[in-house]
Amino acid sequence: MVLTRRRFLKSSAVAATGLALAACVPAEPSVDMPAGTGGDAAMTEITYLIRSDIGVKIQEWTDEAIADFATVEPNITIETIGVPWGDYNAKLLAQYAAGDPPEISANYAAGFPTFYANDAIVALDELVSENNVDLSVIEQAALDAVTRNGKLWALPLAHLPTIVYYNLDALEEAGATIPPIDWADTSWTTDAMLESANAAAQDMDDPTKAQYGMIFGNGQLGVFEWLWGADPFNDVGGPEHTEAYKTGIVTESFYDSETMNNFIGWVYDAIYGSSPVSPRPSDTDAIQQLVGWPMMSGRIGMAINGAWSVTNFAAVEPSWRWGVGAFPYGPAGVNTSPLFNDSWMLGKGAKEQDAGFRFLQYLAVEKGAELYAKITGFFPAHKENYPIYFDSLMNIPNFALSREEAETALLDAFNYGYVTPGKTLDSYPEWNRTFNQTMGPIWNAEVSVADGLAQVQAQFESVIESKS
Amino acid sequence: MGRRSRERLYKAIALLLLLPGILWVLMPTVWMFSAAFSRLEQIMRWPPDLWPDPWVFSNFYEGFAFLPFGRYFMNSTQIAVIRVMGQVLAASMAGYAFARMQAPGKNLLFILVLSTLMLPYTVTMIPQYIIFQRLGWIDTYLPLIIPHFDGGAFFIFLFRQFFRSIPDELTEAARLDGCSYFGIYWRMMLPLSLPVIAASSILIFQNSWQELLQPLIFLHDNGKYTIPLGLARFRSSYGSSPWHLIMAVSIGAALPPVVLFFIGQRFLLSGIVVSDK
Amino acid sequence: MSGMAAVGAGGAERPRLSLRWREAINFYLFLAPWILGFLAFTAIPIVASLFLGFTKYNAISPPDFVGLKNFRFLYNDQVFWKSLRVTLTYTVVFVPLQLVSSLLLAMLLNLRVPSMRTIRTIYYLPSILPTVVTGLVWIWLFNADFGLINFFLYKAFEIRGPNWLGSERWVMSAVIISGLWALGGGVIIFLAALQNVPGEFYEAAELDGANILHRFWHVTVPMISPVILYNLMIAMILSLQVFTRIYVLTQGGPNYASYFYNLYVYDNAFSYLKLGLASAQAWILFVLILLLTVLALRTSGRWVHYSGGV
Repeated sequence: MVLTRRRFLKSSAVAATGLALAACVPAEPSVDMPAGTGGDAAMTEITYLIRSDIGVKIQEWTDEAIADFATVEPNITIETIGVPWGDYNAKLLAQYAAGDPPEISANYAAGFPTFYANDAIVALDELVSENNVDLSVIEQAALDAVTRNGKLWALPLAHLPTIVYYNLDALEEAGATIPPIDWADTSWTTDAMLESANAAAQDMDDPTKAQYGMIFGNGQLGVFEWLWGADPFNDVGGPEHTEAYKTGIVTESFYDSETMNNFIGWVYDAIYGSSPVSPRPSDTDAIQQLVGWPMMSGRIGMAINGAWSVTNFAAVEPSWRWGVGAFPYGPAGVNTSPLFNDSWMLGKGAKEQDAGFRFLQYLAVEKGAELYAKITGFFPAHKENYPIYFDSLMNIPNFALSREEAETALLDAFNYGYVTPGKTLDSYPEWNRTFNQTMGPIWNAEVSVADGLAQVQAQFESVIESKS
Repeated sequence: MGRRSRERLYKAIALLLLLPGILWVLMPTVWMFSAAFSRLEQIMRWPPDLWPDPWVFSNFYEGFAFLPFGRYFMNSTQIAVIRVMGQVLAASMAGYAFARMQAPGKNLLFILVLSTLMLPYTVTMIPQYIIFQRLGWIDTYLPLIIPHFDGGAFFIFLFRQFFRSIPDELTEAARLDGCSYFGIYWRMMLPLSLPVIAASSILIFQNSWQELLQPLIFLHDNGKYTIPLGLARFRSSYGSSPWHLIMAVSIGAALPPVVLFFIGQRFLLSGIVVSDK
Repeated sequence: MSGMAAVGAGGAERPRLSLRWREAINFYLFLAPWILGFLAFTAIPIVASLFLGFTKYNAISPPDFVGLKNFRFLYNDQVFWKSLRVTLTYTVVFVPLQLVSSLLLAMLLNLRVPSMRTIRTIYYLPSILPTVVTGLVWIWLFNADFGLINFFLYKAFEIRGPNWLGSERWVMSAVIISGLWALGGGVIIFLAALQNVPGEFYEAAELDGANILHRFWHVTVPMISPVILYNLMIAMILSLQVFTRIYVLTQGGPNYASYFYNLYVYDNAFSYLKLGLASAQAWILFVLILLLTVLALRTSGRWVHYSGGV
């Protein structure tokens, strides 16, 4: 075909007009620009950077809390920026580098130790006393988790233990033991749990049909080995002996210890042993990434996970009955529950420190916290909001426990808990990456547990050395 | 065998090769389509139950109503269209210069152009953010558009290669007639390059449509979000992502580039009959 | 724009002596958008990242000059060497495969056959779906126990397929296979290039008795060689920097078997807050790609045929 010049010019002219038009239409009326409006001079704008990948409920909560805050503090406007975790730090660091960090950073404390270590956040003690904030309403363990060098560096909104979830219909049908709610029940051991899982497991040779007994977490660095008296960073036993959890700095690792071998060997046997009860990690990983928590498929008898997972039941509304129970006692005679907290931080160098703290205060101890307990389904750190949380928990369909039972199962966990390394180690993402990468060969049954752990240990030693 | 029948044989073989390929290409999309029409509870089953039961058509409505996707569509379209026009123009101009003109420093400049592709964006992103912030461009579409008006190395290089494939004799005559460089570029090179203009427009549109990191970093206000940012807001690392809605919206969001490609093919495959001039 | 046109047009009247000057001035005028854009938005960040490569920098506090420490660290870092090895292996295997399959596909799609417009669109589809979504779909397909690929292998050949994404031995194949799924960009560019091959050339070749393979080697390939060079270099540059697809598909595992170079750069920068180290790493890759690019351009004279230009 022959393209005539006129035809070409005509199309360019149309294009150019489009360009001019599009360039002239403002994307958004600039109502929220503080400079241009010339309105109330006392208006303060703060930036609120929040992870957007926690679930739709968080967005609902954010919207409601900000709308309500506007009635409490009409002179403070909030610019909310939602960013998924994968790019959260990229955004945050760009803002820091440009000298304009957000006042409030909410990343569910996934970055707390790193931010603390990199001097990115401010201590809140002075602001707390200036504003007469009563912190006694917040669970002390949650406050302890964000206290360093005697100072408070963040305000917790949620405080979450790790618990056992179970599919009551599946366990009952198999005649398997139901996990108890009583955390002091020493008859509920890892062996008892394995036995119960064995009873519940069916068709294990066909992954497309199998009914699995349990998923005993395998993707987290240094938490479940506590039950075996192991810890990656000390050779004595549980987490209380690890200096690194207090200083944040890892100086030694013990992945090749006997107790660690026992623990990993136990989980490995549950997957690949003569009578397997757990799905292969490559399957659970795939499901986890694709559809979410594997438990929700209805084909898992029991699963260990953080208390945030109740939100899955609220979202999916499964047709089977389910419940929650206590952690089993391990060979070391303890049932230490890894504790998580979701804490909000005030950015160092952010322009509006006072307004920022005012909002933080609203979220942690005022109406914001109440809405958090009501809407998000995360266990609140604010103790007075416990009833609100349990109200909403009891509304989730097919929850098999009474309110009292649920309170026992969840609240008692804190007496048996210890903060997870993810909330204490400085370079946690780096350790976690090292752990996940090097454990691959074991979880995929490509090496023996002993050989695999020797490799894990070697890699940890090499990272430790590179940091010194 | 005659020429006609041989041609026909080739075409038959080609179709025979292409059809199984279509299965390969569509295979991964089967799950997407299935999920877009299923209930969330069904997607949660594994192994996947690919035949929706029941068929849920409201996922599309629900997905698009969940966030202001209508606005995100407008935002994405606006950015992509402006970017295509500016970038094609700049890239073709620079490509023309590299292909058809001689100047001191040209080779070095060409390597410099290419070298902008070689440094991972991860390490230039923050310095760039600072520049945009000083310019007051953060939370506007300018960082997503204006920097691309340099043409971009990918497309400058592409136009250079195409312009160098056009025989000299064609332009030589025009030059001897006193036609300016711009005249030759505008009246001869561009019209002769419809396929590459189409190809680069399609690709630039696609890049802009899919870009996630830059809008995420440079935009703050939810109202200014683009489609990929909207999609990212669905995902949940802890709870259950609403995959039925994500897939429905993903499929809907792919429509503009698909339509553009479907129409753009005409230009992409327009062989130019030079001798008719 | 209009100013540029005026200079170009006005220049035609000038005496012949300044022809070379005129050409050079025009060259720089045509290149002005790029030069301005480069100076405004690209040059400073590039220089800044080079500087940061010699510092310890977390983006929160000002950078600390540390000399060659970052480079020394990388030299002694096993993970760094592994990521480099993984990336080079991938590039060496993937680029030729991608190039050849894109060209063949483009030639097939170039035929004028009924419903070809739809077929072309279907083949383009994988390139426009969000990588984040398609990456997850591939996780499904590659799953050892209930993935479609192993299901097919078993039904068709009674082969028990590997644990694609979980095995150090197989993960690279999985990455390459899923990469060959979305050929979009290269195919579109080849399609455009094929339009530049005048039909008469084929007819002449056929009259000389050339069969389809001859025509391909002696007409098609030389005529589109500039674009083959383009696609080769771009594929190389992109595959050395591959990121999002891998991040979704494997997150670099297992045991770093798919821990591509840019994954490590990204982790260092934004997960570990070591932006200085990441910059040093990025610059090593930069130099490597630059060398390969210059090499490719230098040697291209032997096989790339340009009809025009200087």
